Amino acid sequence: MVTRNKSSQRSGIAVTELAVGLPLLLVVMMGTVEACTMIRLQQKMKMVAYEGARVGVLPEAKAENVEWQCETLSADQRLNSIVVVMDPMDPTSLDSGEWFTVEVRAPFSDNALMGGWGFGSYDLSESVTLQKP
Amino acid sequence: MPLLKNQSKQRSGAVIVLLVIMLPVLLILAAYVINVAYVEAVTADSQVVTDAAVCAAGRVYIQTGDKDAALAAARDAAERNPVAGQVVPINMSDLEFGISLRESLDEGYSFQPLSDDDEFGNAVRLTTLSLSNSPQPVFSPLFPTMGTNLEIRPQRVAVSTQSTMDVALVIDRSGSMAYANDEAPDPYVNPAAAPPGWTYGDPVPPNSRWLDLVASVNAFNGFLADSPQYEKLCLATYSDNASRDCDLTHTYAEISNQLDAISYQFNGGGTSVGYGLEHGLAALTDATHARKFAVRVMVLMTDGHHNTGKSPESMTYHLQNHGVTLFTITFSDDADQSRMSNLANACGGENFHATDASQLQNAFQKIAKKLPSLMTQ
Repeated sequence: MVTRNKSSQRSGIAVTELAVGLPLLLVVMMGTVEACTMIRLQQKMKMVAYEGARVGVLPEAKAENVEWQCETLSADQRLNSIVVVMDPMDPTSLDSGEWFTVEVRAPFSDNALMGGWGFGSYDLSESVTLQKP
Repeated sequence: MPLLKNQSKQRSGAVIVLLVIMLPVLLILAAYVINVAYVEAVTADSQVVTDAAVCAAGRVYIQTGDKDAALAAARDAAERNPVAGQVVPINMSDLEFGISLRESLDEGYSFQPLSDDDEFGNAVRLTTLSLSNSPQPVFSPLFPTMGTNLEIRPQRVAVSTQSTMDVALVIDRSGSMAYANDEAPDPYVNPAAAPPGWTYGDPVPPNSRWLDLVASVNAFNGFLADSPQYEKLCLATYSDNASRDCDLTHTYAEISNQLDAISYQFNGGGTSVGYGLEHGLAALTDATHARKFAVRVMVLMTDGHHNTGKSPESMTYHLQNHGVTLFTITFSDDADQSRMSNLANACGGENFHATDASQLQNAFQKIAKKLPSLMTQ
């Protein structure tokens, strides 16, 4: 009987230890995955903004050309719910030497592996500014 | 039995002990993984800044030849594109000015820094040496590296090649150019706008195709003068024969002066497109004035049909062989659009048709807008 009591005590302790330890391990693992996902997502958005800006400074480029470029690349990169903002809004108004900015915004929760766990509705934004040749 | 009790007690805290030991290890590993992802992102962003900066520097350099202004433009671009909240430092030692060429159309461009013999280049290369060699790293890892030597010092390279053009204008000065664009040329009837007693050799009549052309060429020159690139122009004109009226020059007024001289004494004659192409090519490839890195473009204008001298098609091989892109402009409905279109297509260009002065000017402007600028690395 003594032996059985000790055995059940040990198994109880093990469950308690697991109850404390497992969440800790999960927090570390999920946090790492989400942080890396966010960094990678920002990198993708930067490239989309860059390609959009490159199109925008071409001769006779229109806003729809920039949007098409950004949306096509975003679809390839599996970016969801992106918003493209241009400054100026109409790249045809750009003269040589003027600067053109493309900003790409996206909510992290729509693009995260685990639904934005730990970061909630955090919005990401990346922009690139190029000069009209 | 006492021995068993002791072992049982030891086992009861084993998982906690393991956690206490392993959790810091896991945290260190997590920090390392995140840092590596961050390094990759910073490196990619640095390339974007390098590209933006070298484009800005290349544009200013090709426009002005001013290296300090090019550096200022590169810094301006870097300030507008911070990486991880930091401005990428750019100094004169990061910039190289040179010539970027390719041997054939299917090869990549190769950058060579300016030699002592070269006065002016067409390319700028930016290497982020100030970023990679700064005493203190500009970027820091997101998490402590636990003694590991993890420094973020991206060294990125980009070359901006401004492909500038050497342009030959090959202009028809045959007799039909003395007539208005809506008037059928007749060798036995003077142009309607010509004064009484007018003959070839007198000033060209007002309202003539020639004067429309002169106005369009002047507008074309103005468009090129306003462009950021630094084009050279030359002029060849043709009728029964052809002449090289102006060598490649940056001074576009010389072209206008030559056209005005022809306006003052308009001799007319037949239409030898082949001779015109021949003289235009000679002007375009004259080693004294031509730039080896420039894209060669020829703009041929005619208002009629080739009717004397060597055939235009016999020049096609020579134009192709010298890498000349040929644009043709047919002016008035009398012009041989089909033949000129085939000629332009054979030399990588395009034909534009115009029936009045406004369309003629538009045709020249469309050609002027086809100037490329390249990122070659």
